[in-house]
Amino acid sequence: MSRLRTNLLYTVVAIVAAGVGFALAIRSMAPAGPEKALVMTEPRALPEFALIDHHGEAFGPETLRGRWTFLFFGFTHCPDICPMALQTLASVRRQLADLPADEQPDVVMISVDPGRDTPAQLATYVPYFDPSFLGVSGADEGLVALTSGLGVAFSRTPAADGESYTVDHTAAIFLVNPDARLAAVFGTPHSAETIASDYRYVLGESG
Amino acid sequence: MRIALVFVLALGAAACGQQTAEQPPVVSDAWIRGAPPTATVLAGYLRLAAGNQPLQLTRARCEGFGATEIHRTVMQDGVAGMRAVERLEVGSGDTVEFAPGGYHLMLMRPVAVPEADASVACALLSDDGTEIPFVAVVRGAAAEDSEGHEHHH
Repeated sequence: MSRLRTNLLYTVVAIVAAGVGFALAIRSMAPAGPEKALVMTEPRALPEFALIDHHGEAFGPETLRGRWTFLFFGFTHCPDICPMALQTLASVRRQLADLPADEQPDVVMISVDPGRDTPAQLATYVPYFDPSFLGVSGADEGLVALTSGLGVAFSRTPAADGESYTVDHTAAIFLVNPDARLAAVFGTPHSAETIASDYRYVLGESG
Repeated sequence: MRIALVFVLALGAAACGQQTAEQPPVVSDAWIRGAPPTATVLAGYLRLAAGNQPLQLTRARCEGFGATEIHRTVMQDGVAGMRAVERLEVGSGDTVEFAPGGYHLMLMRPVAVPEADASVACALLSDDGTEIPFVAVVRGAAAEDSEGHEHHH
């Protein structure tokens, strides 16, 4: 074997080894599996629904195409669980700021209390937690179409004063992929670190 | 000598007096979750140590709010709900945490939503006239986030 051929062989071996090492390094950077999220093996199509965002624009399954989106169901007369979830999601977004812009998730809070959460109320409330956040609501018909498709429950209960009411609602956070399909569900209690890490896993699996 | 004896007796009497004295309930680490200017309800959190008398709390009061109630978030089968607590009983020597996802003060009808770092004078109240005054500080979203990180690491 000539010296030239030997050198060539070493070079090829070195390139292959470097490639394998690089591939292993990339794999080890992505989490091995979800910590907490329920990840769909086959992302599920969303039902048809028609709602309105806080700018007064139509919001339906088509609006969700092209971006990763976290959906949270809540209402603005909810001082404990809802702001906590929105703050967690704001923290998730900050933790994912290193991702390319098109892989960073959007966050949408869908109010199940359209009687009090008008687009104007949502417009001042939801972006407080992160200017990119979108508030969405609409008639019960549209809400029920979406919530029943996702397995989300909500019910309105009169408060003790007999005048106002409170709304019980599923507290899970839902991740919709850029094909407008349900990709993962994050149950309570929510931790920003876990959601961010599981999001990276889902993103890695989808690519 | 006589003077010294009297002094010792006086000290002893003072110590006995202290043992039987009422230890008042104490509220600590009280804070209010900062909210958008258009928020109609806010949540308050605190730690309450009952002292040496049991407590029966029925409501609360916070300056600048139309009404303040004791509420509790309940979670059943993944569904979160909020319930008014009509009577919160705290045994003598016991401590109750008002924390996110559990007991909280529901501060309603703000005259104006207080800004981050503002101090709000509040009191926990019971039907027998007991008032436990305290001051709660408004935490902005960023402050709470960094606090959360400290807990995690």
